[in-house]
Amino acid sequence: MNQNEIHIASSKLFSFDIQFFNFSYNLIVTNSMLTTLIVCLFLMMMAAIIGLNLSRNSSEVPNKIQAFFELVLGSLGGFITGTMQVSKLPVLIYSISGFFFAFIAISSWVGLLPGVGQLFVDNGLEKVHLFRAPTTDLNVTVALSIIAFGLIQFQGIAALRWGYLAKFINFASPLAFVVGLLELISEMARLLSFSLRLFGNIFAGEVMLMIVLSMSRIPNPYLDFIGIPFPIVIIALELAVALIQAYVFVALFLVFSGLAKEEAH
Amino acid sequence: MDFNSLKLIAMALVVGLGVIGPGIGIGLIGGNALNALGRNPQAEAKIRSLMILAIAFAESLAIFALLFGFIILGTSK
Repeated sequence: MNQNEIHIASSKLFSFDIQFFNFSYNLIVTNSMLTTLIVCLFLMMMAAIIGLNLSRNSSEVPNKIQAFFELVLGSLGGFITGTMQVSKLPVLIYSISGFFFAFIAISSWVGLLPGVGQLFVDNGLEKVHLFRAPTTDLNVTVALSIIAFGLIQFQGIAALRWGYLAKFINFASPLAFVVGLLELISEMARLLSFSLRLFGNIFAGEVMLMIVLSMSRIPNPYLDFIGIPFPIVIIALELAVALIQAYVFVALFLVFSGLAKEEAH
Repeated sequence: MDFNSLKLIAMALVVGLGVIGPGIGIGLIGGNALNALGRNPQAEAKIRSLMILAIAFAESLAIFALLFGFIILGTSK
């Protein structure tokens, strides 16, 4: 198998049968699922570390870890209140946005670690990557955007009740009906572009990194010379892209949450 | 023309033509953000975050073109 083959879908590592009363299902474990699990464990470990380092009472001076995360979470809170234009910080949106940001950033950075693109295992049919960054799997990004859009619809319904439905299905006049239909279509298009943007950005970055790395393997005096610094530049770019995509995902989530709460016009 | 050369031409065309529009768009957004920054340097943080948001919208179109390019590259007869 060519090692530089581009796989758009994640590859199967192994599968096992689940028996649930009369219902049996063959669960396929892919390489991105394994990496998602590792990322989740890492995030839980981080949460435990932060929790253990919190000061017990207010007279105690917070240590460096607490001060750092207070700064990060404080700026996230300021960002949320500024974007949604609310005076009180919505706790649910705050925690979900923090999750989106941390998960997307960490799971995109995982793909840049040495070994993630180089380790191969045999799954019985072919040699496949052992690890794959979760955000380069369309399943993960679609799941993230479905969570985000479920929450957006929930907020809209909570704020406007039946008035939220009238945004999409409105028989008041022919014009209102067409506008509602367009709203419905644009809502679907947002869901699609949400997931495809994240997937495409991170996946294109991985492919670009792979091409640049394979360039340094071509025996050519000029390519040999640029083969070392080139991947370093691309990795630095990808670090920034992952952060920007996490920021964009959270920012769009907040903007659409704010829009969903607005009255139909 | 055989299938493989058609595939390569198709990928080059879909990516090459697909990034023209987003390229112009990102240039306009960046230029206008710098214009706004020159007029009102105090609003830097706000302008920067809005600029990144707008660039992400324009960029996602280029990313769609790139994805279609990969899909074309991955097809076999």
